[in-house]
Amino acid sequence: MFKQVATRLLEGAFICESTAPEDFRWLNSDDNRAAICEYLDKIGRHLAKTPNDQAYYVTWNRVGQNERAAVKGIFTEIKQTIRPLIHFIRLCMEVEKKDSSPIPGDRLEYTMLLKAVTENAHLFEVLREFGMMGKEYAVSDASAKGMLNKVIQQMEKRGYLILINPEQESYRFTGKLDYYYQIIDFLVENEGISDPSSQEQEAMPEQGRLV
Amino acid sequence: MSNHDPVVTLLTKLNSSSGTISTAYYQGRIYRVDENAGDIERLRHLRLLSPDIRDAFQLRASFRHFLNAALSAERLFSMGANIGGYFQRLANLVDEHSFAYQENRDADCERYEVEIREAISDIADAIDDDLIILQAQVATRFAAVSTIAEKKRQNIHYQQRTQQLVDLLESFHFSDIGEHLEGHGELALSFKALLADRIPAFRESLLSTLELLNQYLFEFRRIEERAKRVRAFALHLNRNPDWTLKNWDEVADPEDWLMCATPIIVQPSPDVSAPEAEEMLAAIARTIHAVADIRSRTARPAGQIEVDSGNSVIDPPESPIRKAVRIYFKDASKSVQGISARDWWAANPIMLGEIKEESWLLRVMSEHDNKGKGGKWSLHLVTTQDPVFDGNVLLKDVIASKKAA
Repeated sequence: MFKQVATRLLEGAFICESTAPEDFRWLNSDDNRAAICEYLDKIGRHLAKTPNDQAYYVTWNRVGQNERAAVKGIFTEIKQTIRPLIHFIRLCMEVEKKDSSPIPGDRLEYTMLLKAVTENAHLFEVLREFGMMGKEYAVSDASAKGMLNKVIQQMEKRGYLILINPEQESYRFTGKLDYYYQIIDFLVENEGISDPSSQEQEAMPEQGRLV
Repeated sequence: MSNHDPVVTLLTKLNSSSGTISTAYYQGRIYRVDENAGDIERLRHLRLLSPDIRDAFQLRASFRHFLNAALSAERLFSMGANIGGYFQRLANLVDEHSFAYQENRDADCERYEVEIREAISDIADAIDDDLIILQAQVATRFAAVSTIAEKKRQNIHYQQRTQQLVDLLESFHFSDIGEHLEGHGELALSFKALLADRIPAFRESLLSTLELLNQYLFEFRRIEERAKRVRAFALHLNRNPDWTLKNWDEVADPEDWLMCATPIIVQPSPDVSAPEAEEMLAAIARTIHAVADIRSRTARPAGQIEVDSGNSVIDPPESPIRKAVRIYFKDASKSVQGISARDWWAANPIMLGEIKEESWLLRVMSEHDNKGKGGKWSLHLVTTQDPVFDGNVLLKDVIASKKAA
């Protein structure tokens, strides 16, 4: 098991309950984790966990000149991915009419998603906006099915979704989503992005006095 | 068992009305129609149906609660049994039993003993039922409701109820019911086995459920907070289409999420000198073909055009007319007298198929124009003057013959 887990981690995988349940449970053991950490430490790497303990992945021990290019590469990928990913999460929330964002392990039914974007003009418009988010999302077939297939394909390729039942076309969100939630938390706190609902609440007393 | 046993009689009647009971349970109410009128009257007589609005009927609460518990049906804000009331009743019965015992009222004592046993059983069953309901709700994380706000309210409701039960069990622990029953063997045993000995386990289960509920409440708040952040972020992206992240990769100490290590593709190679690998390598070698039918690729030297591209040229099949023309001129090249093209056309219908006679003549003349100079034949046109258009000729036939040496 050690060899399998170590190899996966070194290959850049995010190990979570959805993608590799056995490996994930194995890593949840303190002893096993210590063994992996010791090994990774010898090659200048470190076992990291997403904030809500949903996935394991490997980071550098420290960033020197040699690692700068890799960091830049990761940042570039985040820049390219964050907009479509947030857009996809928003689409899923609107389709499922939920007040919570999806979490790792949540199921996503392709047929339900397709039905919603086909029947609802607003959701179709939300789906169509993916076309403006880079060539990966561009499709020659402008139908709801064609566009949705492209989006799902990209989400699967980037590792946020995993197909769990090909017959029922059921997907599951992976632990990598938790990794992106931590990035969103960081950006909201550090890029001056504020919650409009709390702003509105703060503005209420002032409006009252004016009236 | 006698046919006059009231329990058997009641269950028989219920069995005969089972369809009506089921409909009333699952649909919440039932309307009187000719088919169920008898059942409805019977169930009303047994006080199992109550009138509802608009000529409808619904199951009486006690019967509905019994079915809910028996079927483990999930109820929103399930209120459970009044366990505090059961405890109070038990305490009252024990007191009354003591008085009857002291006053030597044997018949009353016996009646109180039966009631006390039932009250003990009521309490144990009610706590057990409550635990089942709680555990089902907790295990599914309040799956019956969809929004986080609803889940939170459900969570708070069950938290309060669980806390009340824990408090109740703790206060019961300090009551003197056990001491009052000590002198009465059967009752003391029932009290100890069914309730007193089980209370620590009940309490533990309730406390662990309470801990989970507290944890869920914390998680629900966190999920709610995350959803708010996602929405805020999505709104920010919508309002600022040109927004881009600051250069967080250039800071001295990048965040953990930026430090993902570059993937390493591990491709091990076998040690061919290791004796233990010999058998495995031999097995692999046996699967490789002995004769190499591999086409090697060679690089073309710069500035040199390759004559043979290495690709085999696949000739398309010869068309029927081309074949006919080729054979006609081949035959004609050997004939000194010459062969009439029209005669040849008439003599070879299979080869020429549906090609018309005039097309055939034109095709023969075209071939002669293209290849006649280098060919081994000469061509003679059989023509007549056009009667109307002066200077034009009408082609009657073409005769190809061997070219004179």
